[in-house]
Amino acid sequence: MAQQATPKAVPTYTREDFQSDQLVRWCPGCGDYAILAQVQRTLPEMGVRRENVVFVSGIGCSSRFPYYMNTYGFHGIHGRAPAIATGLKLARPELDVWVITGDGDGLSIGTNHTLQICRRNVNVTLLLFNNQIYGLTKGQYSPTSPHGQRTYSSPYGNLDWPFNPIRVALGANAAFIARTIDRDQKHLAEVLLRAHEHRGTSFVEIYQNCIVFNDGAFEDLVDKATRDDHVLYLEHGKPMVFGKNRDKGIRLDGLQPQVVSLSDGRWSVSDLLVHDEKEPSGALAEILASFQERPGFPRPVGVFRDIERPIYEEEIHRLVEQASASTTDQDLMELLEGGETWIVKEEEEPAPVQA
Amino acid sequence: MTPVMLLSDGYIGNGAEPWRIPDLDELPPIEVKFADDPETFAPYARDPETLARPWAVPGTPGLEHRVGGLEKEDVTGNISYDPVNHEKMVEYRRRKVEGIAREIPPTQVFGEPEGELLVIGWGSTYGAIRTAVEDCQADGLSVSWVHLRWLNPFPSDLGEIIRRFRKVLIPELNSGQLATFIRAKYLVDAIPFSKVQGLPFWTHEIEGKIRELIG
Ligand code: SF4
Repeated sequence: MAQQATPKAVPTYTREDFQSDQLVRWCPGCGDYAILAQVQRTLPEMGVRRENVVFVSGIGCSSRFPYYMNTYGFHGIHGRAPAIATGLKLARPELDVWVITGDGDGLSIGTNHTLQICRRNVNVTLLLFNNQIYGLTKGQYSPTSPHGQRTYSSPYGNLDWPFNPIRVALGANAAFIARTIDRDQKHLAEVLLRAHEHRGTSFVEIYQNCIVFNDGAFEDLVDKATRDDHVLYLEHGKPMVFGKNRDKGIRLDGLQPQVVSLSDGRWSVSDLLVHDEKEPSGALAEILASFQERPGFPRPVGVFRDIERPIYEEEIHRLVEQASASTTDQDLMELLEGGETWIVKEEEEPAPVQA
Repeated sequence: MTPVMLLSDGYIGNGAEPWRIPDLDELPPIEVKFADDPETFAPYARDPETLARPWAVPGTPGLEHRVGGLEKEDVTGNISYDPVNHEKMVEYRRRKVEGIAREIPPTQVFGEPEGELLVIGWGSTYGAIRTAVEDCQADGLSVSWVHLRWLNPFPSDLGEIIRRFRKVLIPELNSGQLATFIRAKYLVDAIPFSKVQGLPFWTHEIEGKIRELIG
């Protein structure tokens, strides 16, 4: 049974307290640096003791992340960080566990594990760095590379259709789903805080620029000149307005979302879809997730979904406690000796046969 | 902190036989001493005998460290790209596993400690080999048998035992993997005897082979 750590006051940390002394080995200009910096900056605000923080990762550029954090860390097995994290949370529910994965790690070899942790709702914060390419292995198309993209392993265009990570998480009924972007530091920080605050599996897709093998994949979403027309910032309870001049919005026509103009007099803000993170069925989040496959639609970032579901490790420990409280026959030896057992008086050893 | 692989097979999975239930009070306790001193802790220091690293669990203040697949510097556990350090670490890991042989009890030889033929088996072939060897021994053939329970590392006395016999026969329900290892490790012309039919050995098959070799 897990031991509850005695609650101690959390020291006042700074960003430096979470920086390890290891040389960071990402390519200069990689989006991973921005994410690392933001995690190190926001952790002091999260009210956790450093020794209780564990970063678990798989394999890939993003998965080197734990080495750079001055916390406990486990650079684990390709695609299997969620399994390691689940085990850790079951054994030590009081720890603050983070899973770091990428599109290659978490949505190819590790897709199953990604689904299972979301489905079970283990209380971890899962950051999926999506750069739409295999960076560490030098530029092969990944499970999120766009259809038709030319890469070193798809010189005539990628035949696969990409996973939409938000939809994947929704399919597994993840209770908290968000998306943010490496270069949008303020937004990234807000989403990290929200994700960490949520109890249960928090699934965060972070668009991350791989400057070497897929540079500019999210340029429209980060470039100051274009981003306001290409990004929809989701805010709970607010109508979905976007555009440089805040003159466009999203409205629902039956089940189909529409991009409408707010400047031609036909539609006003009151006609627009209002964001609801708490919408229980996931239908609204599903519609929002579909924007990336709809030409002319802005890309939603922010919290798609934030609902409450029972937490796996709590359920397990509750079950064990219940079962042990209601069982009278608790002697293991008695259990083992029950059923078809008997005692052999003189044991025959396979003694050496003397010729 | 060394993974253990337990090999099983379909025969063990599907078979039924009486099995001695251990007395739980007789099982030795598994004692783990977790590191907790930030002054002396080094994540990749090693116990001089077992070469095991200290174990600091999350939640221990001041002992935050990282483990994982990138090569680490000896003692400090810093990520290391130094070729010579890498070789040293590979060697540590190899010796750590080899060192487990210290814990393995002396190998039991079923029959004379030396002679014409040594049969080496492992796993579910136990019963068939035992009966075949007993029958042959009753007929006065110079055959003994070792049933291995540890395959990696091998027991440290195995090489010495093998050298006391003129021939070595290795029946196994695969394509001769153990025979390959024994040949490679002990430079002995071990004779593989394979069966891959989804069925266990019959006693007479093994007995026939023994008689063919020394009958
Ligand atoms: S290959 Fe791409 S993702 Fe990997 S470190 Fe370099 S820039 Fe970053």
